[in-house]
Amino acid sequence: MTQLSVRARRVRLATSAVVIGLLFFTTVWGHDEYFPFAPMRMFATANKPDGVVRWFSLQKQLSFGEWQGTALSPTNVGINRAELEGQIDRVIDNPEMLRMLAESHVRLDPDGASWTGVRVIRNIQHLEDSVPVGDVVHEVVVTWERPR
Amino acid sequence: MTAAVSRWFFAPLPVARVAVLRLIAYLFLILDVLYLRPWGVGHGELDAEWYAPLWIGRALPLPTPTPLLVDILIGGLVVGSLIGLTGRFPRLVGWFVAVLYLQWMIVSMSYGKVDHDRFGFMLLLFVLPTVGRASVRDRSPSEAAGWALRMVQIGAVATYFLAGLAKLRYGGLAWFNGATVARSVVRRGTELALPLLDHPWTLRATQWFIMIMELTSPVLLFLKARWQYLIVAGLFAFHIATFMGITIIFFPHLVALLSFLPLERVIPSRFVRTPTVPAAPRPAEPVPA
Repeated sequence: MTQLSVRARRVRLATSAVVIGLLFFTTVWGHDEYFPFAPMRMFATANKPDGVVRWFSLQKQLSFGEWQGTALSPTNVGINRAELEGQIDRVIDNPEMLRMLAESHVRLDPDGASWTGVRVIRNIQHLEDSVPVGDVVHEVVVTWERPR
Repeated sequence: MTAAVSRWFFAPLPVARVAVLRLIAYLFLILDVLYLRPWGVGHGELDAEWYAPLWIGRALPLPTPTPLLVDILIGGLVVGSLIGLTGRFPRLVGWFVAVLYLQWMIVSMSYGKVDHDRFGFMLLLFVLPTVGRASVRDRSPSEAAGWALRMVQIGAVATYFLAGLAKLRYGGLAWFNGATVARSVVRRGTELALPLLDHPWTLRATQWFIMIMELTSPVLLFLKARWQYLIVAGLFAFHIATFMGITIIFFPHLVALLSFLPLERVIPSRFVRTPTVPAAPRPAEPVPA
């Protein structure tokens, strides 16, 4: 059997203590910023059974025509839905951030048509006792259009 | 007490177990970077305005991602993993890959959303180099291998347990009977999961199951091996069911969970160089006066 020296054990035990300590500390007092530590808050919020479920989607505009849905995905625009959700307040303050999505789309898909506009749609579904009731409501949250 | 803690952390395990897990980790890493989670590529193409650096990104300070940085990280990770698969320079390559992967993850998580699906996997990358040279044919027990695997197990279990604590912190006791699972099914449910919305008790029961499973997960660390295998199989089933319901699966976390399994047994015994032998009885230690 291969045994560790006293020093090697001490270094490893100290490492374990630091890792476990940081995990607990950031779970109780930390927030997402402290990745790779931080509270493991996947699905951690409680939703009201009689509340609403909201999610965003993205629409593009080709040559100032109709708006149509486009994927809110890293391969299409560089970000995914959760990332847009995390930064939506900044986007509302600065709609030019949507222009940047149109630009990253051109870089990610050079053969595709370029967009004349991008907008964010909020979709809302009401729940009653955790059961969806009524139709999904769509509303425009923020729009960027290229100046004509 | 200290002796018991030490015995638990350094319980010797076969070197080959680490060697097999290393092969799986580096193979998975290539797959992850190129196919499963190449999100950093999109981030490199984004305007810097979208960059929302993490604490570590500001403190070090790490560069704002660009297409060049992304290419360097992907190239370095793929080449590093390929060398890692050969078992050459295990320490140098191990640290190189671990640090690069951390930076790659920071690029992935610095645009408005942080995911916690890979703490155990990142820990695995960081402990692999501490074991050094390890052959899949070497089943001799090693304390270094034991500690490394223990740390990965802790990382995997912490992912559940701390997710449970985070639910209590953010959702509180309302989480148990809330509509969190219903919300996730409305937002991204598959054909298999959508019908459950008509039977909300199934979703509430799922929440109770998740919370109890997460808060009791540390028990897994202290069970006998046979029970660990059974529970790990159950956890795999849970993650596959989650994928079928809402198309979310924590692949890197599944790799970390493998640290509970006797992976060395995938190598046929005719290839084994040093068969497991019962440890020779230790000479009696002098009793301190």
